[in-house]
Parts: sequence; C-alpha cells; structure tokens
Amino acid sequence: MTSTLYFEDFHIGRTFECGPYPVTREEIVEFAQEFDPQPHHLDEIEAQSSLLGGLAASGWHVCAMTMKMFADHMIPLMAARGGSGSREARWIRPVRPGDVLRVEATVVGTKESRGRCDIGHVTFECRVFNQRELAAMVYMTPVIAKRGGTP
Amino acid sequence: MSTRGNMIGMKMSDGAEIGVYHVEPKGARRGGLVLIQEIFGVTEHIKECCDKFADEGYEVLGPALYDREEPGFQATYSPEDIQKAIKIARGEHPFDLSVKDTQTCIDALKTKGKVFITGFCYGGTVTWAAACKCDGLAAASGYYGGQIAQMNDLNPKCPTILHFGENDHGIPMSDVEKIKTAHPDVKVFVYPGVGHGFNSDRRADYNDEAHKLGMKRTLELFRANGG
Amino acid sequence: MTAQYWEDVEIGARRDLGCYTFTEAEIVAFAKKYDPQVFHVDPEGAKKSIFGGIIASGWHTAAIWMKLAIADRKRAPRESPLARAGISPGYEDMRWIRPVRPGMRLSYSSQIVGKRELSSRPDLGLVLTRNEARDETGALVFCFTGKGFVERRPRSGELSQSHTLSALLPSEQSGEHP
Repeated sequence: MTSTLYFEDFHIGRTFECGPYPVTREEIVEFAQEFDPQPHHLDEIEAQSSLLGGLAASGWHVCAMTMKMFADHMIPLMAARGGSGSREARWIRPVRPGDVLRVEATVVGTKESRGRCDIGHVTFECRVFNQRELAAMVYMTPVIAKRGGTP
Repeated sequence: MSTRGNMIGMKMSDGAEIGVYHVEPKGARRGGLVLIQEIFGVTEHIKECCDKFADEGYEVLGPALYDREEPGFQATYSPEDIQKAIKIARGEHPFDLSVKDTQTCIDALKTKGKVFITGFCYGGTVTWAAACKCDGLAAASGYYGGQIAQMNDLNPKCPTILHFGENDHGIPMSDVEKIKTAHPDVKVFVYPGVGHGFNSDRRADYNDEAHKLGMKRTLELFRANGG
Repeated sequence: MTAQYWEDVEIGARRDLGCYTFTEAEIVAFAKKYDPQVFHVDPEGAKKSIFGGIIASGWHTAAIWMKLAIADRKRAPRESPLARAGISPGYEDMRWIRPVRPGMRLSYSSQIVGKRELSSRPDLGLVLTRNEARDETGALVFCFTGKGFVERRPRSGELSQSHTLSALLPSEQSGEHP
C-alpha cells in the first residue's frame, strides 16, 4: 500500500504517468452534442472540410478526459484539495476516434500558501500524448495539496 | 574511404531529373531512409553518412537537391564555397522543392517498408519540414537545422528528434527553447560543448562522441518505430 | 448583412451568453465521468470535505460556457462576433474562483479583448476573448481568456479555400494587431 503524498513530497521534475484513455466515436459525439455542438465534432463528412480534416474531439472534451486520467491516478496517491485552474493550454493536434491518450504530469512548481499552513500549491504541467507519441494537448494546472502532518 | 553506393537519376514531381545517391542495406533490410544533404551538396561525406546507415540495414536515398541549379554540385568547406552554397540555398533554390523532392524519395521507398528521414544543417531543416508536411514517414531525426525555429508552428506527423550543439553560433539556445516549448513530443537533444556541424568529420566542429551519441539515438528512434 | 469576418470584429464587443442553473444530478453525472474527486461525486463525502457539500467540477463550469457560447453564435449569427469562429489553439488563465453549488444560477458572458493576424495563414485571424461566469450577487465565479480562429474576409476575386491538412493547424505566432 503506497503512502499518501503530501505537498512536501512533490519535488520539481517528479513525473506521474496517467491513463490510458481509449477515445471512441460515440463518446466524442455524445460530449459534443451536450457541450460543443459544432459540425467538426459531430459529423465525419462535415469535419473533413474543416480545419481538423476529420472528426475530432472537442478541446473541452480533451480537457475532461485528461482530468479523468489525472484524477484516477493521482487521487489515490495524494492528499489533494482540488485544483484552482488551468493555464497556458494548447490544443496541439486533433484527437480522433480510436486514439488512446495518456498523460504525463510533471511537477513544475511548488508554492507555500500565504495564508494557511495546512496546504500548499503544486503546479503540474500535463502533457497529453496519443498512441503515436505525438502531443495532443499541454496545460499547466495548480493543485492544492495538504501539508504533511495535518489531519 | 571509398563509398559503395551509386548515383542514380530520379525523376522528381516537376519532371526534372536529379541525381540521387543510392546504397543498398547490408544484411537484413530494416527500412528505407532518406538522407538530406547540408548546403554543400551530396559530397563524399554525405555519401559516407548514407553508407553508415546502409551498414545498419537501411536502403538509403540521398537526393542532390541543387541539381536543377547546379548539376553535380559539391562544395568544400572553404569560405568561397560556403558562400556559393549559401547563395544557392537561400537565393536560387525554392525550399518547397526540397520538401517535394523528399516526398518523391519517400514514395520510392515506401512500397518496401517503413521509411525514415535524417538530415544535417540545411538537411536538418528539410527533415523537420518533411516530418511535418510529407506523408509516409515513420520517424525523423534532424541535426542542427538553422530554420527550424522559424517553422515552429508546424507539427510533426511522426515521432521526431532533433539534435543541436550547445555552442552553435548560428542557432541560439533561445531558438532551441522555443522549439522545445512548442513541441512537448519532440525530443530535443542538446550536445554540451559542441558547435554547429558536429556530426561531420570534415568540419572543424566535428565531435566524435557527439556523432556516436547522435547516431545511437537516431537508430534507437528508428528501431522503436518499426525500423 | 452577413456574419462578421475577423476584420469586422470589434474589440470591446460583449455578449451576454445567458444563465445556467447547475443541478446536483448533472454535477455528479459529469464528475463521475470526468472529474471523480469526492467533493464532485459523493454528497456524503462532500459534506465532510472543506467545501461542505457537492460542488461542480471546474471543467464542467467551463464546458457550460462553451455550450452557451455555441448556442449564442447559432441564435444570433449577425450579432455574435464569433459566428465565423472555428477551432481554437488553446486558452489562458482559467480560474475557478468560487465553488459552484447545486441550484446556483450562473450568468455567462464573453467579451472581445484582442485580435491578431496570423503570419502562417492569410485566411484566418485570431480573436482573444475574456470569458466569465458570475453568480446571482454578481461575484466572479469563473473566468478565462479564450482564443479562436475566425475566417478573414475573402479578397475580391479569390475564393476562400479550406485547408484540411491537420499537420498545418495554425498556431498564434504572428505580429500584434493594434
């Protein structure tokens, strides 16, 4: 049984491998119908004449799948108190039906909390790769981590 | 050291015929390789590079990209020849034609199996552009391409690695950082203490250790991608 | 009068995208799929957490912004500055400022804050937006800076072309537009 990781355990450069997440056409269309109903996320024929050159997942869906991979891997490991946002996000390549995504989450910064001694902020750079080792997305996300020794 | 391949003529997509150095693999064929010249043409050094990859099991095509402008062009590393080569590279020869000629070479190899690409200096930039624009490449390994940072908004279609010398006077580390930041999936190797052209034993900047390490990384990349 | 091209987009133009009320059922359904932290998926566990109850995933809050933004473009194609917007290269500075609780009614908005030409593409321009969600007291709950590629007006005599090579997806590298 691995022990819980606290703020102090996240040194810069430490990388966590999350995933895999197989992407299906059904899920691409279902998410897009609900949250991003643009033709290039819904219909293959329409998508081919778009900049994406074929059906691809909504960028917001890629964010959501990335969060799922991150949460599945990291929640059992760390004493987290949620995230406060996401920045410097780039949607680099289309994510297509049949792609299998994985995430490399690397600690790029840590900051003690100014007001509180029971938490700290750990910033991860999340790099999302497809099965061909090509990057689909990158973003930074600060996560609130409990400090060691606090209940 | 004599080279064991042959110069053949190949018709390119615009109908022009250019010379291409062709060498068969030693032993079992691992795949095809397009090897792109520096600005000095398909020199003895470039032919030797092709032979080295052929020794590792690759069938290699090294197109003489300036043959339309100067048939049989080969330059030495003298300042006059360098100036002449730069004139052709930057003035007369359209860059896109190099990418098209590269695609023609890829097409010639792809019926036989996986196709890879490598190139040096000008050829490093062409390697990058080909990885981003051409079809049919399994992996790409580009050495010290000076214009790659200016093509930073392209994304490679295949796994790609790049090699730069830390002390390359023509390619600042700030350019290398730009490339690294924009492309989290491209392994950018920086070779400490070496300058531009470190892979070429004809050049003052040659570094045997860096040459061997670059070769090792390139072969590992190709092998990891079906070669 | 047709939908705006990039050239027509006015900096400062603001759209109210409408309101959205989050229910506990849909908060939990989204989070079970995409953000399974205890305070998003488990009402009992959430009560014991620092949030004191179920709150929406920040990604759900963001996805609803997109939902309302697309609906606005479809509903008002002439008024919306982004009716000709296509894909986006990314976003900046997304902040989940206050918890979004079940029953909370958020007002979403989008304002044009910048425009840039793209050196790599003559047929598209980049538009920057400041996007927000506020609660019923007007407090800022969520915000981010969005980016979108918007069609440029075709030059007379030219047909606008669609480029479909996915390896040539434009990024934002370009000169600044005043």
